[in-house]
Amino acid sequence: MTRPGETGDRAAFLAGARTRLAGDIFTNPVHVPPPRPAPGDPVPLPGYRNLDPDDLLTTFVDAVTHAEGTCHVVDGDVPDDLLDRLVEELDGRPVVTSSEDVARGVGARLAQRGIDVGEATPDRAASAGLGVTGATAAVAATGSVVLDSRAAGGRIASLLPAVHLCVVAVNTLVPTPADVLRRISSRSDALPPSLVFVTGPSRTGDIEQLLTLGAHGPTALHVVVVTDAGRASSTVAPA
Amino acid sequence: MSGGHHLLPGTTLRQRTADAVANDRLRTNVARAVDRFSTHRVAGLAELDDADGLRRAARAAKQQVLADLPALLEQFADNVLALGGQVCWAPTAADARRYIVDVVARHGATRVAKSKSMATEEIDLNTALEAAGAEVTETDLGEWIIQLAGETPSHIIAPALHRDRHQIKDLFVDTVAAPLDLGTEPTELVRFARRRLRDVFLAAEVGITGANIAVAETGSIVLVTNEGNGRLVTALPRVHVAVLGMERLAADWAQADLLLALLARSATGQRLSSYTSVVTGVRGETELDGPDELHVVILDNGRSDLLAGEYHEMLGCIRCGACLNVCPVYRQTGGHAYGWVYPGPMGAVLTPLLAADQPEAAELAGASTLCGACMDACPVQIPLQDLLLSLRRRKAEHAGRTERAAWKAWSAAWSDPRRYRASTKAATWTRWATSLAGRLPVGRDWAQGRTLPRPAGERFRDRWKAGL
Repeated sequence: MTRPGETGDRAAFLAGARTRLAGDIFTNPVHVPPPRPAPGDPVPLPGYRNLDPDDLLTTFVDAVTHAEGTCHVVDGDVPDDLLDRLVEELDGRPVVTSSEDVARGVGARLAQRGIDVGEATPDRAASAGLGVTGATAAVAATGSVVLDSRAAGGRIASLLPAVHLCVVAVNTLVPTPADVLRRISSRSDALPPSLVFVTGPSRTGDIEQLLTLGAHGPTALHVVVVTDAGRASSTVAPA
Repeated sequence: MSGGHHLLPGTTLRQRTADAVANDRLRTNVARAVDRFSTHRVAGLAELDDADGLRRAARAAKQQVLADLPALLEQFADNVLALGGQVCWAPTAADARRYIVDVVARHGATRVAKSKSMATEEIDLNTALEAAGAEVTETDLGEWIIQLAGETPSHIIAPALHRDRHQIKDLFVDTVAAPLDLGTEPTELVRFARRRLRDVFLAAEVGITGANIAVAETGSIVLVTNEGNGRLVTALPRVHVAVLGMERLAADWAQADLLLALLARSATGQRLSSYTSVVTGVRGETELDGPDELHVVILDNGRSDLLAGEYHEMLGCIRCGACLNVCPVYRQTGGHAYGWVYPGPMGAVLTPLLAADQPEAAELAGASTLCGACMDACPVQIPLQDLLLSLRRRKAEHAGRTERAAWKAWSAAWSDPRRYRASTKAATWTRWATSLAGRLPVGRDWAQGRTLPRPAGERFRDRWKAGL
């Protein structure tokens, strides 16, 4: 009965549940539940009142700000003045990038400024002042960027450094989380080992339920939306 | 049920409640926290079109999942195995603990990092790992605080909400040698914890998480955190162990999308928590980080017994904490008075069901006003007040013979006009009540903490006869 990788007796584990479900299922008579859907019945789509379907970009910028992140909408490439500002905040610490072309491109421009830039190994990322990544999608209604560990070559470039800079192409902007999540079912390729919706910087409310940024992950999140996606990755040679 | 269940030893619900209510500082801290949560929840849900319709749909989706649970669990497990993960079927808390202790021992691991998980609290995993020689560190800030204090969580999403900043600073100074001049501003306390816990993440050999949702169609686990500790625990250690309550499934991503739209808003009011992670299998070949091994422990621990029965809707709970935040009883007592790991209305239902071997657990169904605020706040519309009422009925049916006899005698006396008249004579009434309260062992418990009404000197009946 037990397959490779499996511990414990599956059939015995499920036997109790199967026996109980073989009979009638109790229906609460006071607060009567809605009819039980059949497998495959459509699940209602959440509607988001802060979403302007005709202006996803404005909705996205507002939602990133709402989540305590900073959003920059740029034409073509990450602007020099933003990079200069981030370099100032580095205070001598190194930078790590994910392995996406767009992140390595930003890394190369930082290296030209004399900054120590490298790939995101745990030790390097832990001491880094900035982590640069791309994203596979951006979600307008929630202000999330979606990070794919397969495309990025890992997870921690966006997580261990003090600041996270995420560069995302405007043509990957979708209205709601459903546009990412519900499409998983029809994906032809397998899911990456880690797919993360990042919505603002790391935070905690565990002390008096007061918002404090930078609990374990980055204290600040900069999202750069590139409105001309082609140039961002092609005008800069990969590091 | 074996192990993992210990209501606070040597205390009773009545004592714990009295202690909590007498603690002004505790009540101030709890009230401040639940008010903030509740305000944010209302604002967060107001941003959804027809939030009540979505809650109804979530209740329906959960009913569907529970009706089809064995097949969905098989599909989920097969997908985890196909992705190179390992699956443990754990009928009891002891089975789950034994498996996880084995995994840690097999890797010769001594350092274990955990992200917040109520399932691991339920099975009292830390005690078992520590007994086996591992150093276990909770990395959620609130969980770390209560671990240092040797406490259980007082809230399912904000485990340390009963402590204010000054108490937390003093705790850091007393337990982890924080400098005496550490400030009490939350930013300073958080920075101190961040530095300490960073080393834990980097050194840990095994990472342990719970699972907010497990998605059957792809074998994925969804982890929702704000701090980033859930991501770190599944990125840096070589081994990831996820403990999954068997009911926490979604059949597909459409259901998961619906639940995620409600979860963060109901918990903290956020549109999404900072990090909503979908973990599917182990580290890929091109990746610099991520675990080489994934173990999913599927935990029953009394859940199967609830399926299809009167209490089965409790298995729809997504652990958002909204019912705690609106509960007038929780507001006055905080979580520790409930005595186990699950507090508030969801705990008052779950504890008697999952810790049924603890006689005192049944008392918890009484820790409610039955006002129904909990069901109104619940994102999956669990009829909590109906379940609480039903648990009270069940407890009454199992009451001791003396108590049942006393109520039967009372019922017989007051069903007959002559005996009723006799019993309402003031002297008789007082003697009857005193006798019930004082002589029967059950009566003594019942009378403790209750004030008997003082009978009027003269009955209305007698005054009426005397022409008022």
